[in-house]
Amino acid sequence: MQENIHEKIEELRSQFQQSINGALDLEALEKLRIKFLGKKGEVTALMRTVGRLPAEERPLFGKLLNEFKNAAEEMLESRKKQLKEKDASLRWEKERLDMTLPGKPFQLGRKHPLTLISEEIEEIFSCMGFQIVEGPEVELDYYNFEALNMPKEHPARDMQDSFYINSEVLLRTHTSPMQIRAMEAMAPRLPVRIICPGKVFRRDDDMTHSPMFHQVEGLVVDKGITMADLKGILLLFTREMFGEGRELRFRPSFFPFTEPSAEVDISCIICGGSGCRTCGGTGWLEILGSGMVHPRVLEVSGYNPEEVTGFAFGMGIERIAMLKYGIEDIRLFYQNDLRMLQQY
Amino acid sequence: MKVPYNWLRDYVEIELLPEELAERLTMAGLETGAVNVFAPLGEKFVAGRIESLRQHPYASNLQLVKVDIGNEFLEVVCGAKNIKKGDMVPVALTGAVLPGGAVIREAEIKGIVSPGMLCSGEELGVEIAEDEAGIMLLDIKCSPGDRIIDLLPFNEPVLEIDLTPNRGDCLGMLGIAREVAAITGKKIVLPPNEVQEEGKEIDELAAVEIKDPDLCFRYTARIMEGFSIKPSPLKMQFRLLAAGIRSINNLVDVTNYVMWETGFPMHAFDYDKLAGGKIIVRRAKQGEELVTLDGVKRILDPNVLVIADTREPVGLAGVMGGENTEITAETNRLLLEVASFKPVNIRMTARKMNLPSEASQRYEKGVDPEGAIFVQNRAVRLINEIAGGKILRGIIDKYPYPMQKREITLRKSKVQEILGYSLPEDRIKEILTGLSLVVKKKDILEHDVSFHVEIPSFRNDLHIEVDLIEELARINGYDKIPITLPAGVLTSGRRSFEQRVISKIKETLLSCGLQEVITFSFINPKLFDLLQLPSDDIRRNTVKLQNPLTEDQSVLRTTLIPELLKLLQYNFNHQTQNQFIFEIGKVFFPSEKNKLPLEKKFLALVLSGKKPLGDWQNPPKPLSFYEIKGILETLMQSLGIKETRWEEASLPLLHPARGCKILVQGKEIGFAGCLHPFLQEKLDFKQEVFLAELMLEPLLEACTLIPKFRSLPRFPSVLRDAAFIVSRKVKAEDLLQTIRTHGGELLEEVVLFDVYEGKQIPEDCLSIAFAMTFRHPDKTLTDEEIDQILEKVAIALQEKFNATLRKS
Repeated sequence: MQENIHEKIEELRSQFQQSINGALDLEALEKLRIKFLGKKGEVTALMRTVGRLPAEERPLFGKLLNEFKNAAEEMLESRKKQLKEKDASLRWEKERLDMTLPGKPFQLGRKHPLTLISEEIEEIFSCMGFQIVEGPEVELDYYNFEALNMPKEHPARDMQDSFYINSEVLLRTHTSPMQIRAMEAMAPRLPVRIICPGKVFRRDDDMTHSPMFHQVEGLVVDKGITMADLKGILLLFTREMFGEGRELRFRPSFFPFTEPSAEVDISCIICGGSGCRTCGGTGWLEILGSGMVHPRVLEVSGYNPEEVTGFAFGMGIERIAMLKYGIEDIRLFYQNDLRMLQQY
Repeated sequence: MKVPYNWLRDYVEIELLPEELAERLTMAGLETGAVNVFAPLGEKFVAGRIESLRQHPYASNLQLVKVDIGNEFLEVVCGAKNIKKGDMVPVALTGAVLPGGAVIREAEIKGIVSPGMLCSGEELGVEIAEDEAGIMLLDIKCSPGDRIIDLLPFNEPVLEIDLTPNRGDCLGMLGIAREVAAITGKKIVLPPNEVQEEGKEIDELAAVEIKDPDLCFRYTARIMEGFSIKPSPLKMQFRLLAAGIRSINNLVDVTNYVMWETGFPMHAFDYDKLAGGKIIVRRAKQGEELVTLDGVKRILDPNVLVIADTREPVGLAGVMGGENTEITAETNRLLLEVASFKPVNIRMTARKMNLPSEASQRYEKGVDPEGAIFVQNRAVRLINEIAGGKILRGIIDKYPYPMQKREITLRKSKVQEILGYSLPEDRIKEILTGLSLVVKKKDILEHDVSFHVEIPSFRNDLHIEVDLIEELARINGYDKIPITLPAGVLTSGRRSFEQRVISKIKETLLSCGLQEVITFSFINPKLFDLLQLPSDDIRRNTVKLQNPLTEDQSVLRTTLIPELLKLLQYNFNHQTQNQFIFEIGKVFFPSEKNKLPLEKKFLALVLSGKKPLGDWQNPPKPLSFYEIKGILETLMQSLGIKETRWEEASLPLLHPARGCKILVQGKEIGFAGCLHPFLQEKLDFKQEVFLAELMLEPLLEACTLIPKFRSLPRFPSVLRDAAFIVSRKVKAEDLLQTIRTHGGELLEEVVLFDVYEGKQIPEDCLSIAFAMTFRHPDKTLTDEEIDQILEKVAIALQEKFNATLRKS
């Protein structure tokens, strides 16, 4: 009788094996499962016959049958996984996309290159605790010239330099009037630490001059401010703006509202100082004017030059943008050719 | 200012090479560019003595000239006629390269071989006076065979110094020499100025009267007679040419030479042409006339200072002499003027007459009255040296208000306070003395030392203590100033609210795909006509420039739109069809109360083209008004501004039926719409253009950068769609308002998501569909509750707008 049991189960096993090999899709596999392991399947049918066996054979029969059931389930599961993968890979092949077709364009707005430069400068100084202030583009003669030590007869006031509205009012020719305005607003509080970016106007129009252009003015007034501090701040700024390796050169110069005054050169950002076309072979590029605030300027703005000192500097944003971007004609900034603007 | 290197060495010992000197001067504040070489010449030119001349056998206009060149004789062919036996002339030997590049070879000229060439100034690359006469005659001591480059200042390095306007004293070689002396620690050497007077006393012949001492500080005169006018010695001519001054004749050349030397302009009158032998320095009379040396008749007025004789003006003081007293070949006696005038007056006159000159340029910067006598003597001495003649006895010197000596107190502590480092007392003294300043006295204070420094009259730029500190700093070298960072209390560099809002606006617009532009603050007022702004439009009331460069930049803008439309046009013409641009900038309105105009920041948007850009699946779609409105709505949302209304209006610039005012919290802040079709046609735009302009100030007021937190809902929402058929005349905003009102508190949001016309909808109607979101804060809403609200909404719409709910 025992052999009979083994035979029966063996037969079932080989039957199952054959069927599972012949099941080529998930549907056939499911049918197979029902046929063998379903509620009315072969295993259940065999189980029902257990009662007809002698009592001593029953445990063995049950054990063998269970073993088969477990093995069958395992095989089914693994076959199912196999078929699923095959199925999916067929489907995915049909879903294949040409990954080299162009993506859908999104329109990106851009800032004007002068805004980019200005913001970069503002950020550097802002991080050093400079407040960013703005002033009027149309200015009183007093702030633009008089208070800056440029009395009525000063050559810089010649009509060919400035756009006048009337004898007392003009378009500011530089951002320096904000030195006075900022100090007037602050005095007698200390310290004054500001930068002032903005538009300025001069009667000039060629490759390197635009009747409107942008400057940034800087001013620090406090007790104990020295020219050494001016050097330190500008060196810090230049290295942030143009890179770690940059060197600065301070040359004596003249501005009516600073004394001592200094023109500041940066080691050429194109050739690094060895001499090239951009720097005219000198290795240096002039980028800003600076100096210690003139005592009279402090005085008219409400500070006592015996108690406080200060430094000021000013630079042209276009000049820096031209150097940084390699633009040779200043007028391009105001032509607003979108093909140019969208490069930045 | 051009400074020939070897000329400069007359006044100060220089051990530096020209390039080194240029660098040192630059670093001391006298910005010196590249060093150029004046009259470059090679070696194969020598002095030759003419031994004999004979006629060329085959050419009547040529001669054969035998020259001694030291070790041999050459016979060269020459066409010039100005040479004779015994003359010393430059000879180009074979192999010599002329400045023009030509190489001298043994050449056959009309059958005779010429083993070299006698040279003119022009052939040697220098434009000496009366060169047309022919071969250059060497007027210096030399021997046959001497190299020309050793005899004359060929190959002269010339420093080009770009002076700052405060350093008028350096507009003369002596001033530069003083700087060199201070930098290098050498002493300056003044040129000789002792004179040998003879003949009559000047007072017997001439008198000077200064009628306007406010404009003329000092006037000196000397008279010379019996000189002979001819070309200057070659050396002087070369020096002047190297300095960029044309050589005229020995008299004019001396005045220029001494001006270059001392920085002091001067003028020579033909004494015999001066009526009454008198110089009167006075303001011109209204309408008085003077023909200046350039042949131009000038009409004068009392703002102009003139030099006059007893009859009429004979010169514009400090600017240009008059034709009536010009020195000519016939001149026997001259009166030399060395004077000091008020800088501003000279500048005004030179500008008014459009006569900028080397002289006026120096007077404008201020000429030191104290130096006049030295200069007067130096000039007549030189004239005497090269032109001969007598220097009459005496000098006229009118100096009504002699300059007071100026003293500045310099504290050692202040040097440290300004420069950030301390200079030893000895070094301070050394630098000041090197600059010809006089340290008169030293005071020892409690914690300080102070110096009393006397300022020489030629340094009219030094007035206060810091001026001296700058002198110390620049001569010691700015590179000696240490590098430190300011000490002191911390300050916040945080941006202001306005700056942050503007950043946010820019960011939002960039995210919407708009390009930022920057246009000029001034525009052409004719654009207002072009854009057909009504005559009473306030934007026509502009701030006008007195002296614009062009009409295109003649008034300050009152709106950003005109320039943006021009920009649009420009870019259309350059094949950019899709343009989405914005600008934030100031506009200007005249102010009645203040001197300064009102400056207001505006934001303008101009859009034209297609959007989205299109791709290989979806073609691009032309823009509609709703794109620009969408961008503005996004902007409002990003700024946290609620209560924006779009009020239909017929506005200038805009399509009469496609324009609106924008209101924020009930206040009008700008407009948006489609460009008026007529303007579109006029500007030759082939496609629709959409524009908007807003004032920034009200946006700033309404803006909330930090939104208030609303707790997240705990119960689910219910979404319902409903479409209504309404007349085309009904405005969407009115429908939305009604839905909001009657939807009550439970209606969280209503979105208009579809507008349909066509089948099943009457022709004069539209079907408008809304998506409504309902939510109760404390429970889940039931269908019945929502149906009730919807019914209320439907009834209200029915009553107000005759809208019918569309059954799906």
